[in-house]
Amino acid sequence: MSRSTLFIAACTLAAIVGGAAATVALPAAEVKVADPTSVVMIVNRDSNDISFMDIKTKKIVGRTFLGNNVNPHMVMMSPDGRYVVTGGTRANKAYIIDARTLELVKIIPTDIAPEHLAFSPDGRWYYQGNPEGDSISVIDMLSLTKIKTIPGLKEPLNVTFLPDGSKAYVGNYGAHWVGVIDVRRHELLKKIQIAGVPGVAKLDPDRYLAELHGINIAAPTNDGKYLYAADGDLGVVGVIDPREDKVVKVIRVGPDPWRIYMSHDGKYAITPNNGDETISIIDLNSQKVAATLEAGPNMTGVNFAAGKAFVISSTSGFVYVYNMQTLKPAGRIKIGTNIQLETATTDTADQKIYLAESTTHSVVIIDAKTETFEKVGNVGLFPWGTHIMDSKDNYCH
Amino acid sequence: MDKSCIVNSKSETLDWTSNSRSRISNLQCRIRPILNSGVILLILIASSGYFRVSAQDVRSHTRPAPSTAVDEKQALDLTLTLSQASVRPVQSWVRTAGKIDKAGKILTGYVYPPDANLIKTGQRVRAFPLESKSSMYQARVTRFVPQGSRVMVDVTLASLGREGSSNYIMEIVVDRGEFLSVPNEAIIEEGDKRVVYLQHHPGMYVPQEVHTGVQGELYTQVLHGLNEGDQIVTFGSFFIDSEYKLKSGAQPAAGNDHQHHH
Repeated sequence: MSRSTLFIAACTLAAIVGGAAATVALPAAEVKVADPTSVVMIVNRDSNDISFMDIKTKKIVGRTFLGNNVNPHMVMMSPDGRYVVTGGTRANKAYIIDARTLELVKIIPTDIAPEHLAFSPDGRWYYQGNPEGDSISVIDMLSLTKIKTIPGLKEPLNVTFLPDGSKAYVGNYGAHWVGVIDVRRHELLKKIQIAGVPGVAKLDPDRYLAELHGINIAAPTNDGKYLYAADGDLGVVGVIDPREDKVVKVIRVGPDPWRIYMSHDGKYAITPNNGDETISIIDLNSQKVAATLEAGPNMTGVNFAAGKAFVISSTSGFVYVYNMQTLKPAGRIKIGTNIQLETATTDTADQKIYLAESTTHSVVIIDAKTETFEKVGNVGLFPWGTHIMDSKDNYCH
Repeated sequence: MDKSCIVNSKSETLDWTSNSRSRISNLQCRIRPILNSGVILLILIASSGYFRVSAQDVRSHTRPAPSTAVDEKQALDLTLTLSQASVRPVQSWVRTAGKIDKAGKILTGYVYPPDANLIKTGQRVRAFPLESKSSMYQARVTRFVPQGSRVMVDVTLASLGREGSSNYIMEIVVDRGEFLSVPNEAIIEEGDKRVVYLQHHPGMYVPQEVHTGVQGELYTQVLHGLNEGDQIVTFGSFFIDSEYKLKSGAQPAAGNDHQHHH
C-alpha cells in the first residue's frame, strides 16, 4: 500500500471517527410527538404551559412550560405541523414551540394582551390578535420574527383568512365592523359595518354604558364564498361577500349572539345567543334562520360531530345537544355541578369532542355518538382550550 | 323523581318540541331539588359561588385580568418607582453587640439562633461604637466558636477602634447567595399571601402573588411568581393596591391563584 493510499485511509477513518464523535457530542433532542395529528394540545392558563395528550392512550406525553405570568390563551398547530404557537396574554408575547420535541424555540414580543390567533393557509403568516393593543402582530413563520403590527382595530378577537390567503378578516368585539386586511401588505384595507347601529337614544342605557359586545369572528363558509359575522349588541348576523367586501344580507338572530360556528357539512351555522339562552340555526343556502332552540346560559362554544351540534353552556355544567338533521334538541349532557366549562375541539373523524374543564383541571372526552363521556384529570392548571391539528372545530373564547 | 332531571353521563332526553315547555321543564329541574331539600340547601348553594359565576358574561370571563391605570401626573405625585426582578446577591445583616479587647482591635460578641448558623469566618462586619454611632469601622469575622446553641464571634477591625469606646454594635453581613429577587418594599403582605404589582404595560399594573424564599435586608428572594426582567412597583405600590381593590372589588386576578412550581 502506497503512502498516499495510507494517508487517505487514515483521513477517512479519522473523518468517520470524528463524525461519530460529533454525533455523540450533539445528541438530538428527544422526539416526544412523532405525528402532530396524534395529540390534543391543551392550553393551561394558570400553570402557564401547553400539555400534549395522546389521542389513543389519553396520556399526557409532554408539557411545554412557557414562563411565569404568561397566561396562554389559545394554542394552534402550524399548517405544516412543524410548530405549535400560543399567545401569552399577561406576558404580551407569542411563544413558538417545536411540535416534535415540544421545546420552546422562540419568544416574540407582541402588542398588549395577545389572545386569539390564526395562520394564513400557506402557513407563512401567523396573525396574533392583541385585544388590548387593538392590533394584530404579524409573525413570519419562516424567520420566526415579528415583521409588522397592524393597528386601527378595536378589541380584535378572531382572524380568518380567505382560502386563497389574499385577505384576512378581523372580528372586532369592541366595534360593529369587520376589518379587512390585505395579507400581501399586511394592512387594514377596509372596515365593513355589519348593520346600522341604532342611535344613542334607542339604546338600552345599561347596555350602552357597559362594554361593547361587537363582532367576535367573521367565519367563512366552507366554499369561501361568504363570511358570516354575528354582532352581539345588534343581535344580527351579517353576510359578507368577500369579492366586493360588502354586506349582502343581514339576518336577525337572538339577542347577544356570542359568535357564529359553521357546521362541517357546510349546510348550517349556529349562533349561541347568550341574551335569551337560545341558539339560532341559520340555513346557509337560504341565508335564513331555520330554527331557534332553547339552550343554556353563558355559551362559549359549539362543536359538530356525529350529525349533531354540541353547545357548551359554560357555567351550568351542561352541554346541549341538537340533531342537525331534524334541527331539534336532542337532550343535554350533564358534565358536572358548579364547574366551569371552557371550549372544545372535535377530532378529525368527527367522533369525539375534547372539552376543557377549568375548575377541575381536566379534559372531558365526549363520545358524540353515544353521548357518554370520560374525564382525564391533571392536564394542567385551569385548562382553557384544546386543539387538534386539522380539526374543523378549532376555536377559543 | 322526574326522569328528565336524572343526572348522569348519558344525555337527558328532554322533550323540547315546544320552547316554552322546555324552559318550564328546565326551571322545574333546577328548582325542584332545591325546594325538596329545604332552605339550608338553598343557602349552601347561594354561598357556593354558583350564582356569582353565572352572573358574568362570556367576554368578562375571557378578558384578561383587570389592571390599574396610573397616569403620568399621579405617578409623579406618588414618586412611583419601578424596579426589576433580577438575579442579585441577597444579604442578611446579623446584628449583635460586641466588646473590644485591650489592644483596640478585636471585638467579641455572641450570636443566637436562628442566626447563629449563618456565621462564618471572613464575613464582612460593620462596627459602630455606642458613643459615636455615625462612625463606622470596617471589620471581618476572624473566629467563631459554637457554644451550645449560640456562637461566640471574634471580629477584627481593619484599623484601631475609637478611643474610649469599649462597646460596639456589630452588623455582620451574611451573603445568602444570588437569587431572583425584588426590593422588600415592593412586597405587600396580605394575610399569608405576598403580592407585588407588576407593570403589564406602561401605566398599567396588575397584582401578582409571589412565593418568597430568603428575606434579606434589602431584597427578598422570589421562588415563583415573577420572571427575571419583570418590572414591579416599589414606591407607590400601596396606592396602586388600594386603587385596584376599589375598582375590582378585590376579586383575585386571573392566573394569580396558581403558578408553576420549580
